[in-house]
This record gives sequence, C-alpha cells and structure tokens, in this order.
Amino acid sequence: MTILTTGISHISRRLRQADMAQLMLLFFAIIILSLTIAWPENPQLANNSWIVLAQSKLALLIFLATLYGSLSRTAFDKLVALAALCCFHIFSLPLDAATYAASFPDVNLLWAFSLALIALIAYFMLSYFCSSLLHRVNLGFFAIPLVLLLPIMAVFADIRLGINLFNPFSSISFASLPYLGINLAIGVIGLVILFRQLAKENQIGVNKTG
Amino acid sequence: MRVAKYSFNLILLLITSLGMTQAGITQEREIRLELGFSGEMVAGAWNPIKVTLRDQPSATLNIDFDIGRLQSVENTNTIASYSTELRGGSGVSIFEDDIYIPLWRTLVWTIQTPETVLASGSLERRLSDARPLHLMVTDNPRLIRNQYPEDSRTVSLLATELSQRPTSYEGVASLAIDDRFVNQRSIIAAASAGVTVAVLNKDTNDYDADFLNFLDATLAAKPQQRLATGWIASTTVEDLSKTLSLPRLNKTMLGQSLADRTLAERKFVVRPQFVYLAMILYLIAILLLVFFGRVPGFVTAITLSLLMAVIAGILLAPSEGLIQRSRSMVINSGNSGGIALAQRLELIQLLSQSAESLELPLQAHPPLKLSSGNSQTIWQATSDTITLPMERWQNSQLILKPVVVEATLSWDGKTLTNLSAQDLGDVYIFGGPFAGRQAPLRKNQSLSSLSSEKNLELPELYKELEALTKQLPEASVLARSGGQLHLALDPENLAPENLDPENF
Repeated sequence: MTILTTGISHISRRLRQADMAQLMLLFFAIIILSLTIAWPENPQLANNSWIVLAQSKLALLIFLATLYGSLSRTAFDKLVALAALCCFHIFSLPLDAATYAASFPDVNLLWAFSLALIALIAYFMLSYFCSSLLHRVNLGFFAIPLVLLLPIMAVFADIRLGINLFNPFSSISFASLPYLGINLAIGVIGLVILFRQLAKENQIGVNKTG
Repeated sequence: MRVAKYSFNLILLLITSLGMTQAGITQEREIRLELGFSGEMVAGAWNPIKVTLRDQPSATLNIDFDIGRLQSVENTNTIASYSTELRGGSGVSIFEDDIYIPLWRTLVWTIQTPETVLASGSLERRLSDARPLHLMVTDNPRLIRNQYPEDSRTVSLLATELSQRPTSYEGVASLAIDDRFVNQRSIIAAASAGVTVAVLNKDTNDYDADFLNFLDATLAAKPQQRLATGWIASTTVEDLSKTLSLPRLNKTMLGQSLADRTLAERKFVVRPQFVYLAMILYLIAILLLVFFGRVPGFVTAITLSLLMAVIAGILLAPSEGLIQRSRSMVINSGNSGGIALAQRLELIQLLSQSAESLELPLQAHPPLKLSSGNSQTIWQATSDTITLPMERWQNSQLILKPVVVEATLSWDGKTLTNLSAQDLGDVYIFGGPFAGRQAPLRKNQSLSSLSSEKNLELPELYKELEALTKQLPEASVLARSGGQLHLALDPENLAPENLDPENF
C-alpha cells in the first residue's frame, strides 16, 4: 500500500513538472484538434474519427516514449516518466471511447484501447536499450536524434520484412498477434531490467545512507 | 477390296454418329436448363429459369455472369453468381424461379453434385441483349410479326411456355395471343407486371369459357383496360400496332426513384459541437485536477477519465450496426380493382465492418450503385437470398422482386376509393381537372366530390420524391400510409407522351 501511494505521489509530482505539464497540454491540444478535424459535420458522411485519433495518439505517444526513454538518467526517473506518459493515454481514454463508439471500427475494443499503451511501453524500452548501448560506446550525445528515428526504422523494417512486427500504425485496423508478441516481450523485458536496476539503485542508496 | 474397306469405315462412322446423337438426346432428356422465353433473355431484368431433372440425384445449380476486362480478353471478371439447390430423385423434378440477369460477356452454368458435374454449358455474348421482348403465342407468327417495328425482338412460343409469375415478365414489352390454349393466370401475371397483353380475335377464336368471361368482365367498358401496371386489350391483327403503342410504365425507374434524401438520412446521436465542448471541458478539468489537486486530484483525474470513457462509449454508440429502411409503392390500375403490383426499394446501411459480405433474406436486383473493377464476385444470389460485398459506412439500394398484391386504391378519373386496410394521407392528383391536394381517405372511403380548388403545393414527402413525381403519367393519384406509397393510374389516360420509346 505504501509503495502504491508513494508511486502515485511520484507520478503526480512528475506530471506537475514543467516539461511534462507542457507536453500534456500539447498532447491534449493536438488530439482535440485531430478529433475536431476528423469528426464529420454531416451525419451522412462516414465517421472515421477513431482511426485519425488513434494515429495521432500513437504518433505523439511514441515520440514522447522514445524521447523520455533515452533522456531519463536513472531507472527511477525512467519508470516515473513511463508511468506519467501512461497517464496521458489514460486521460485521453474518453476521447478514444467516444470516437470508437461513433465510428464503429472493425477492431476489438480491448485492442483499440491497449494498442497505444503497448506501443508506448515497447518504444520506451527500445529507446532505453538503444540509448544505453550508445552510451556504452561513448556515443551518448547521438542518442536522442538516433532514437527518434526508431519508429521510422521500425516502419521501414516491417515493409522490408513484409510482416507486421514493429509498426503500430498498420496494427490500428486489425489485431496483429506477431506485433503484440514482439512488443509485449520488449515491454516486459525492459520493465524487468528497469525494476532490477531500480532495486540495485535503492540498494546503493541504502548502503550510502548506512 | 478397297471398296469393301471404305464401306466398312462408312458403316462404322454411321454407327458412331448415331450413337452420339442418341447420347445427346438422352442427356437433353435427363437434364434440361431453360433460361428466358424460348432461350431469349433480357439483360438487366428478371428472367424465368426452369430446370428439369429426370432420374437425377439432388444437385446444385450455379450460374456465373462474367463481364470480362478491357485490359485482356482472357481475364475473367465475375460480377454475379446465382446458385440454388435442385431437388432430384426418381421421375421428373422441375425447378422454376426468376433470376436477375445482368449484361454479361460469358454466362457459365453447371449442375453438380459434390462428387461430379452432371451437366454444364455456357451462353454466348450475342445473347446478352437488353432490348425488351415481344412475345407471340400464335399458330401464325409471320402474320403478326409484320405488325411490330422491324428491329424489335419478337419471340414465338407455345401457350404452355408462358410463366405464371409476374416477375418473369419484367423484360417483356408485349404479349400477343392468338391461341385458345392460353392460361388465364399467365395473362394476368403478364399484365400485372406491365406487359401490354393483346388478345387477338376474341370473338372468332375458340378461347376457354372462363378466359372469355374474364375478358368480358375486364373489357366490358372499353377494348383496352389497365391491369395493375400493364394492359389487357382485345384487338385484331390489323390494329395490333395501335395496341402496342399503349403507354408503358418504366417500373425499374419508378422503383429507383423511390429513394429520396429522407430515406437514406442518418441523424447524429449527439451533435458534434456538443462532443467537442464536452471533451474540451473534460480535458480542462483533468488539467486542473492534475496541476492543482496534487495526489487526491490525480487519483480523481484517473477515476474521472475511466468513468467518462464508459459514459462516452454508451452515449455515442449507434443503436445498431446494420440499418435497413424500405419504401414501397403499390401501383394500382385505375378502377379495374382486384390486383396491383408492389414495388419495394430497400436501403441497407452498414455502419460496422463486421463482415466482408452481407447476406440478406431478400430477392432483389443487384445494388443500384455497383462498384466494379476488382476480381471479386460483386453479388451472389440464391432463390431466397442476396449476398453483397459491403464496406463500412456504405449504403446500398436494392429494388426487390415485385409482387402482386390486392389493389389498395381505385381511381376512375372522378371517384377515388381507398381499398386498403389503412387510412391514406397526402392524397394528390397529378394533372387533370382535379389536380392538386385532396382530402385524406379513411379505409374503405370513397371520395367523389373531389376538390377542384387548385391547391398545387406538394406534400413534404413528394417534394423529396421529385424524381418519382416527374415520371408519373397525367392524372395519376398518389397517396401514402406511413412509408408506403399508393399510386393509382388514370384508366382514361392514353396520352402518347407517356410512351417510353426505349421500351419499344
């Protein structure tokens, strides 16, 4: 219980910090804009607002995930940043629900709601792995521009391979099991590594205090 | 020796050819497929089909219509297919139906069981003709043929070959009868479907007594009388061309024009402005809670977002994924009473993409707006259903197979009678001395004191149905009960301007 309340308190504080607060404002502004553009003014026209909203959300969340995956220093910072970004997704769920209901897409509801979350965690971890690797070979200064290219490389890899493994945009319209498997695996492995690192950091902190 | 050898070969050839002929006859007797009237079909219309099986197992009939591709002659492009189960067994089994035949390049049919193909065949492109047929049931077709325009499609057939289903006659313009073996039901079916039926030499020919009684009753006042959407006329060979020029209704056009803006209209579940406002207010609330509410505010924001997601999902979801709306029109034949023809247009709206194709328990024309250009089958029909490929948010309009119903509205040019079981509103006469709006008609009510005050303003629905009202013959009456329209044609109106030249 204490861990949960501490965690909530950290996430709440992180969301109030200037960078996250500004990004959250920007995130909401863009998705509201995409909603107003995509929602038809005429009821005779097809309502494809969910597809547009899902794409905008995915693009924004992946961008933020790759950015914070490489920016944050410690495992603690990374986990809190990841949780704060997940809150972006949770806060925007009513928009997903509204557009999903109105546009009647042929996608499973659970898939529609979890796709962005899975992509967010997976790309955060991919960015974290890549930036760690670049720091190890003393190319840390190159990490941010390089990891921002990750989604583009993922889309390109999928096109070259002819199978949907990394590209979340092509998974919007149908539930792809290979995509789900790969991204869940990346996410779980990344979380395990981060939590182990967090435990190690805590141990060091305890030792220092001791 | 050589002569003997040649003689032997000749005898062998004769025996072989005799055997082949025998085999051909046997097959023809065992399985027989007849399309159209005496093999003549009308493309773009319902046509009769008859399959006769003799001592055959139950099988499936498949008919594929291929329109080919412009790019290559060899490529196939099947746009439609029809399939039905044929009941077999010992003795003769006959299957009869009406199928919609589109314009085709190749028509291929097979009758097969799961194990083997019992029979198959194909029809040539030259048989794909959209011109209407003129049927002649007579012993002397050459004499009658001269009365038709030179380029008209005339078919001579036996009285027993006439279908007794009105739908079979959709592609038929006229039927000339000079044969005492004609069946009264076939005549009524043809006339009700819009065919001009010309009974030749009524007084001299030895027609069936019941048929003569029917003719006398129908044609008591005039030599020609409307029956549902067609005509029955007593005439002579010399006057046949005059009878053929009686105005014909283009029922398919009338059916198509039943679609109006209001039928296809979708309404917002919630107005978009309200959605934008609600979402903006919600996001402002979230931001305030997160920025100023600290931990309790953050927890409230999470709870609020989940709650709002559920509310938005419930509030904005359409009530159904598939919307079906229809509008029908009963076409009555002036004051002849009795029967009428009901034409129905079905509008299908698919909101969700739950299936690649949609099977509907309807017998219908293919969709009015056909998309073509892919290799997929565009529509598949059976004797009871039609399957359409439909995409998300797509609308399709289907004209259903017309059916004969009891007359609902009688009109002799002076008196209007509501024969239906419902009250009729929006009664409007298009042209003539009583043109304009009339009083509503309660069921079984007759109205002889028609208003001649020129209240020419069309009821709201008729304004939307402009395409329909423009096609109506002079002095027609249109009324409605709910979504059903009732049209009564003026029996006196023989104006040649209503003639649809394309039908001749």
